[in-house]
Amino acid sequence: MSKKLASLLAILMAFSLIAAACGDDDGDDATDTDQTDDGTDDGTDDGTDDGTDDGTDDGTDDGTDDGTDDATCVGEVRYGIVEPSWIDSFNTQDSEGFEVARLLFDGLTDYGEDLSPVPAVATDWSSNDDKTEWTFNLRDDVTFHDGTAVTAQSFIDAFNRVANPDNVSDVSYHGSYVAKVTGWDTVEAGEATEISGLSAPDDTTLVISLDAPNPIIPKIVAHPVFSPLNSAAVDAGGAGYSDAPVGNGPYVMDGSWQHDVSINLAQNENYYGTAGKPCGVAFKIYDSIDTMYLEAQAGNVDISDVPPEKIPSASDDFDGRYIDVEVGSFTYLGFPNDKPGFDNVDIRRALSLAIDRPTIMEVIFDNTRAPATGFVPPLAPGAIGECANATFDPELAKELFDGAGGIEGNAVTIYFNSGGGHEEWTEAVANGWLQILGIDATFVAQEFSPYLDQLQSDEGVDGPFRLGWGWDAPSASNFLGPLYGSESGDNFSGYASDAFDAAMTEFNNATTEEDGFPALATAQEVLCEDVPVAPIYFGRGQRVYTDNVSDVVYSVFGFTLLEQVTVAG
Amino acid sequence: MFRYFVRRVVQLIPVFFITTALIFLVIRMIPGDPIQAQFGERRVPDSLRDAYEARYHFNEPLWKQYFLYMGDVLTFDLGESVASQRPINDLFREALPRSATLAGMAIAFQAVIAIPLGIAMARTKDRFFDNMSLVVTLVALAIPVFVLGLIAQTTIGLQLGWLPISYDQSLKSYVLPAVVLAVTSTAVTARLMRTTLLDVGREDYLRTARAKGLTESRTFRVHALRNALIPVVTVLAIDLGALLGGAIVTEQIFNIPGIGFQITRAIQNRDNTIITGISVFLVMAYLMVNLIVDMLYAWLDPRIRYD
Repeated sequence: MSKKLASLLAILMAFSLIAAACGDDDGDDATDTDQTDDGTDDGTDDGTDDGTDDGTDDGTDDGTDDGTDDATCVGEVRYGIVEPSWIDSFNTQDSEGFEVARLLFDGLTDYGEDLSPVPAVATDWSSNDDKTEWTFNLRDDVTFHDGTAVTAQSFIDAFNRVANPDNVSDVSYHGSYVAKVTGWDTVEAGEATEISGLSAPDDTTLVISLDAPNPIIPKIVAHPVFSPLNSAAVDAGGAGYSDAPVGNGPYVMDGSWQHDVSINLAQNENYYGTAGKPCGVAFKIYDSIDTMYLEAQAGNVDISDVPPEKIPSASDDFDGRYIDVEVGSFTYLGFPNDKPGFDNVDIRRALSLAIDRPTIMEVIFDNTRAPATGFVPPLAPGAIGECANATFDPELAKELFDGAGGIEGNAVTIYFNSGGGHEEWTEAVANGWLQILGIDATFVAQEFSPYLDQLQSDEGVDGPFRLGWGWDAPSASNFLGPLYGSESGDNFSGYASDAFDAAMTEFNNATTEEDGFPALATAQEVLCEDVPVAPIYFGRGQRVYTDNVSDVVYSVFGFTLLEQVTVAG
Repeated sequence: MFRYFVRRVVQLIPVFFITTALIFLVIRMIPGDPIQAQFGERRVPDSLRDAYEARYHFNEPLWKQYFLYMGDVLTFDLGESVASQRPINDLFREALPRSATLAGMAIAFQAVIAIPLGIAMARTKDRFFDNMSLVVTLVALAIPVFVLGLIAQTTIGLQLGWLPISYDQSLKSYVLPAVVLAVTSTAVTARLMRTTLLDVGREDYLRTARAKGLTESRTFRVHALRNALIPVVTVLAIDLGALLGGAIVTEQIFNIPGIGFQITRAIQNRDNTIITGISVFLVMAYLMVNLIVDMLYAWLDPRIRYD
């Protein structure tokens, strides 16, 4: 071969070899979870090396003696997620981040099975008469994963960190807007460094003062954003802290977050409460749910999400190990209540009554969404039953519509955000309106960012617009106040009702949450009469799991109770 | 040769600045608020908006943002992600080796298969092997890469279990995606090799070489093949540059967190800083590749360097 030719090919080969060598990057780190033994310990080795490490621990000997009987923890559950944006509790904002953070951290309270708050770090709590001051009594035996004690001050430090604008926490609104803790918004605005409404008379007492009465504070503070903070660990961890946060929950970080690859957790041996059943949790990160599902079919992932097109076959693919439950999300078609045509309640009622929700959910979504029967998902405490104006009644719709004089031009423009899978169902709704009410529809689909800009602008939109809402706290009130309160920043429909506002104020002043239910019922009845938006569907979540695990429970918050999963081991 | 090199490098500098300025501008002109994009369907609280703007200089005039950004770039600081506050340099440190491995493997596969295949096709022109290869490469060309990827993943990965279904940090898990990526380019390159070889075969200097008494083998290797390789090598080199950032679909299907993967996600999330950072990098990569290709040309064909 000529010299130049040989050199050329050699350079090409060399380049690819170099690239390949540079690329064999993190195959040797301590959190390698591939299925063959490459000589590294992935943290779940059972202490004997038989030459293959299959990534699961049979639980009988983990090679260390910590003085407790760890034969009660079994195996490692491999859970598929997409890459979270944050697992550090101060900014946990998506369901996948939630999944990790809730195992790493325990807050004052936790969400009980019936969605009422249960003790976690706090043993009990009480409030003053007008519900503007809440006192939490804490356990004295809770420690962080590094042994530091968890005190009331740990919570105050945490909340200050969340509110601090330098940290740019996207979920700080839980404190300032949902809970309305006194002084939280002042810190957010950069005008103070500490939240004035928090105090710790002693290590085991935390007092939270509010700007407005609120009977459901114990539920609100179960959210991971209100987890305690180990300030020393944050300082020591520096920039890498958020990739390996030090919490106080049933599981600890095993290594750091390998972005886009995995997050590994191991059992917290010094946990104050009931230990989790699996000895380890391996979060495997996938960008594509389709790939995650394939890996579950291959047995490399124990629990996986389900891509929409696989939902009909999921139960068969996994021999019935398929979960489909309601979750706390709500999608609606808002009406611009202050614009011509839509300011008439009969028009709004008609439009809502002309939507055949059950059929749309069945045909377009294979029933993976639940047709909305009211303004609040039935699983939310305080929700009332069906609202007649959210059912399908074409004759009544036509009657009301004609009686009110119809809509000018017999045409509406429907607005929605593109890329969210809303094209088909909005079209179905429009077809229904055409057939039943005789109006034409045009569509305007935009990316979410400019779409929201338009909704927030002074002129808003002039037709029905699609929006969704996910809850911050498990209460019907969270679906009501923010969306329909006249002063609320999340109310895009221009709806303002004194009766509604009064009912919500009454709820906030109630002595207990249950006592406030009648007020919530009143609020929902007002909405049912006024129909400020047309409810469309409530969300559902799906999961499949392999025969390597059992006792898989998927909660209404959109996360799996991983600490309760039994691994076959 | 050296003067040629210097000339080309000097030309690169204004190109770099102009393209990066354009990218910077265009990204910031895309409708939609990058801050709102972090909040999904919630309204951004005003205090938080101020905090974001301060941190990412969103409220400064565009020219000033550009200067601040380029200043950082020239000290190798690509800034941080809007969504996760992670330093983008870290992102690159993780993503680049993975994309490079994938691209390197794909190119190696291409070179090893396409060149000999093209030579064989040219030599057996119009006979059975050539015709069959033309058909096979045509089919390979026609199938979109994502179809190929999904089929490969389901059959070879799941049903047969010969190779990993997705990225599991082992070198083995790069093989299937690299093959999938390489299929289309291999088909193209093989056909190109065949064509250029046939073209060169008609040249007068080959007749002269044979007349001079050179063996057929030497005529072919030293004169015909070497000239025919020039366009082929160009294509391979450009492919490498394209693959570094462009294997978007393959990276997503096989879950390889490389450059293509990161930029797709950043675009969906309106993470302007990552989009800009990766785009700037891709500009650099293309410019470098072009420079290398030009240098290769000049080395292979001495006539070029005196242009």
